[in-house]
Amino acid sequence: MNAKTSSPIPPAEWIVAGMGLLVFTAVLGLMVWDAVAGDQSPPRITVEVDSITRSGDGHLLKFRARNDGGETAAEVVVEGELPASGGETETASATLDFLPAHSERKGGFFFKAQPERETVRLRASSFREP
Amino acid sequence: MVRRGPKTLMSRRASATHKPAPRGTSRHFLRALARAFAGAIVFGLPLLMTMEMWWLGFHADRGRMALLFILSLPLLVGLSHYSGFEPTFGWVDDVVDTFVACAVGFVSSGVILLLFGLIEPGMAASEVIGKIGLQTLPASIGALLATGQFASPEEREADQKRFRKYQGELFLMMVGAIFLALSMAPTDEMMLIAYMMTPTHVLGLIFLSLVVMHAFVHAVESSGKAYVPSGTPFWSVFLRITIPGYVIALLISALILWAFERTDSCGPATLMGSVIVLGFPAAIGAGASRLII
Repeated sequence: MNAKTSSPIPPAEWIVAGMGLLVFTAVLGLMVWDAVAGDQSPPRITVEVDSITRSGDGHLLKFRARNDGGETAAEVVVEGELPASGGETETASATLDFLPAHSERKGGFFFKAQPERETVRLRASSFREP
Repeated sequence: MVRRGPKTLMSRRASATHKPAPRGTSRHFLRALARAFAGAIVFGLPLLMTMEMWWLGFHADRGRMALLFILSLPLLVGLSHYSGFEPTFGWVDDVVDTFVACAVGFVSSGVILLLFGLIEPGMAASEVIGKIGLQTLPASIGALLATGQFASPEEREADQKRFRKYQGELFLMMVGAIFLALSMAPTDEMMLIAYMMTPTHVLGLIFLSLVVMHAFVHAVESSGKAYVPSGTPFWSVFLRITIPGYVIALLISALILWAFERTDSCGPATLMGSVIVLGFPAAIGAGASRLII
């Protein structure tokens, strides 16, 4: 017992424990900071075109949805409208399971006509609070 | 006795051919660290593969997560005192081991979430830290429990002695309750089951929880490892061990449900139901804690 009481803690253990303390305080600190001073604003979702490529006999438009608000949005419905020739519009929609605060998620639409970055209209139409 | 036979034999053979490095050396620590990683993965994997846990990582209430973190600290220190991946002798050792377990839990959870493709560029720091941080709790418990899974018979014996105090017994039950309840609490099924149960079902489940729990307590008691000596009358064991254990299981269950926001906007009946539903695995975990840990 006496010999064991005085057995030293090896340097490697101090280093790993120091890292653990750092990780613990960092995670706790971030959570407390988020809880006290964090952004509590409702979701602010912007959708933009990521890329347009040919896919099968149509076109694939990949989009990037970004939530700049402070709350997570669930089941975000993203809609795309593409004005086609003859005054008609081609529409498509996609649902993102979650769009957390200050984060990005990607998705895609298949259009029959060739979409142009300038003419296609993308927007988020609805979400649910998680 | 029969069950422990082959295990003891195997460990004895292993320790005969493989002399462990003396405590206090870096080599000994590295062995303990490897054990801790193994424990973190064994305990953490079911939750790392639960999608509700990933979601909680970004939308869970930060205040509650912070509270859960603060509460986990005494739990981990206690666990390090009673079990731990190395035998500890003094509170400095316990605290150092606790933070080693945190580091192990954080690294193993982070690496696995990264490999699962759950951490990607474009995610906010809060989301990434939330996801890993939440998984760190069960993984650090696993890292500290590693000794129970990989310890040598002598170390096991030393732990068992410490649990023979009443506080040790209750603490061990609490850890067992957390062990099982934590892996089930984040799932949607907990609430679904609570919605479908009638008051008769709830009463039946309470009864079954107590019966199963007492059966475990009795089994451990007759193996001679428990706090109460074998041959203690039924009602005495029931009142001293099973009932306090069930209360602990229900409290743990309520705390975890609250922290994971499962109880918000619930009527009192559903709330009770969900606490008792999660209390069932918690009670089994508490009763079987000596077999798990």
